Amino acid sequence: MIISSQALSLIIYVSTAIVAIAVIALLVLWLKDSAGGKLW
Amino acid sequence: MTGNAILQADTGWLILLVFSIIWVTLGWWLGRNAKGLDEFMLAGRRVGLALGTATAMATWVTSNTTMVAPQLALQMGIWGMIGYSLGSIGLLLFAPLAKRIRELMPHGFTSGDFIRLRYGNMAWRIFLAISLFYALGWLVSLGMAGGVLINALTGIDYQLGMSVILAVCVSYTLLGGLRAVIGTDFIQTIVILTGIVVLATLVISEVGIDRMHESLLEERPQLLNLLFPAAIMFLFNNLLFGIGEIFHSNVWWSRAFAFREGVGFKAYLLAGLFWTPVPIVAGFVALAVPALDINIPAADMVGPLIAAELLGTGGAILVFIVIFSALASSLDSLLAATSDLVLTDIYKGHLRPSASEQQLAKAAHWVILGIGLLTWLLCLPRLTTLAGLLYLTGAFVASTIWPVAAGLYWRKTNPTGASLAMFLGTVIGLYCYFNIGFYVAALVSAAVSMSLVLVSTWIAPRQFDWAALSNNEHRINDVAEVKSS
Repeated sequence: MIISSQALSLIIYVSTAIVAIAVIALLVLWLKDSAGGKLW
Repeated sequence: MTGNAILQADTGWLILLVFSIIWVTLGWWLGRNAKGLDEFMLAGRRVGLALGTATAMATWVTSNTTMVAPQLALQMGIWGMIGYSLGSIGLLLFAPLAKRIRELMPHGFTSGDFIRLRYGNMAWRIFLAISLFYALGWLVSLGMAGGVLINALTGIDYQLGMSVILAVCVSYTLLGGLRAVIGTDFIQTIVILTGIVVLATLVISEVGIDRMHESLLEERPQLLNLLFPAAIMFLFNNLLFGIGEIFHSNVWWSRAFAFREGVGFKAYLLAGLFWTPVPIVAGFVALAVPALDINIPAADMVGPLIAAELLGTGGAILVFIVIFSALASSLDSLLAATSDLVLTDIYKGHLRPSASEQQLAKAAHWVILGIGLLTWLLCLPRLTTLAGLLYLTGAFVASTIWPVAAGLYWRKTNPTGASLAMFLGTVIGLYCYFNIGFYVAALVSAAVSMSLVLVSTWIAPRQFDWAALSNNEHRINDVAEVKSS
């Protein structure tokens, strides 16, 4: 049972997008914690 | 350039120098106010959500993720990288455990604390043997990965490169303790994630997924096979391996103790969700090997070699920085957490029960140095492939899943069952590792351990008093009493 090119593309594109979102989310959390004095 | 190296050795040295200075200076600056054991070992127990999430992610995104994920994709195809991504289940499942740990042991220091108080001395010692063997195995695999990476990309001697990376991580962990580790982890996470997204985007645009798929179909169709038996076995094995690593290791427990109240659950949950796609993004580049028709001299060098082949000097530099950050973010965490375990459970728990906090604070530095030196000695000969070394420890760690989880939630689980589960799970898992294959070690170990915990709990239930965990508030000063009892 071979995975199709479309399914492989979907897995790779979605994964890459989530990792990119993670970077933004971490920076937003940093700003939020920093503003609230909750970084450390 | 030397041999097949992509970068000039001078460029490699320059990158090493720049990032070494950054990490050590940052580590010193972040940890400059860390006074006392609570500050040095647990960052004052006030770590917030941003730093908490980033440190959980960075620690779990190791050189093994960035180098072994492509290796597994090359050897096991689609299930290799998806199987690796199931390592995130451990982080997700640890989220409620982190909350529970903080509630049950608000003043705890190590995972060894929990096992000792919950199951007594025999289980504690078996657990320590497993945990320390695993920690050393992981440290050696990380140190080796550093040497392999630097050698593959720059031609700098394996032993020299490995020594530099270890020295840098030991230095800043020594200077700043867990504050330095967690602070640098945040920046390293951003560097790693940005780097792998850039690389993935470039690989997609330069090669294209359709072309990769076509070439794989022609030359190595088994890599696209969803029913590749060894790979499916690997998938479940890796799932249990990851859970075992996280459930038992002091790397994760020390963070559960260090996070601000209410942060543990959210931080581990977010880290797990964000980590899941990382091995896929880092690993799929290996599927471009047939399309590019490049020679891979060693499977664990596939990631850096493909990036360099596709993206030239810029790609090689980017991959170098990403993997250097991934290495540092895991090495520092492991150094700090292992030294905590050695300090409190071996030095204080077994060798010098009467040591004062001041003496422990001094010893903490020597322990970090000693572990760094031992790791360096074990890394000097390049003994095995990274995956081989990593999965040997699977037999050990998977045996701890049930004793830890059951111990945190079931009053009835008894010490004898937990000890037998860890001991026999490890022994039988190792037998299967050597006689069947690396991909079944954790699977068998977890199954044996689960059976023993369930059967022993059913046969001889106990009524454990949860207060025995939280009453132990000044744990660092009372190991002697427990030991003598």
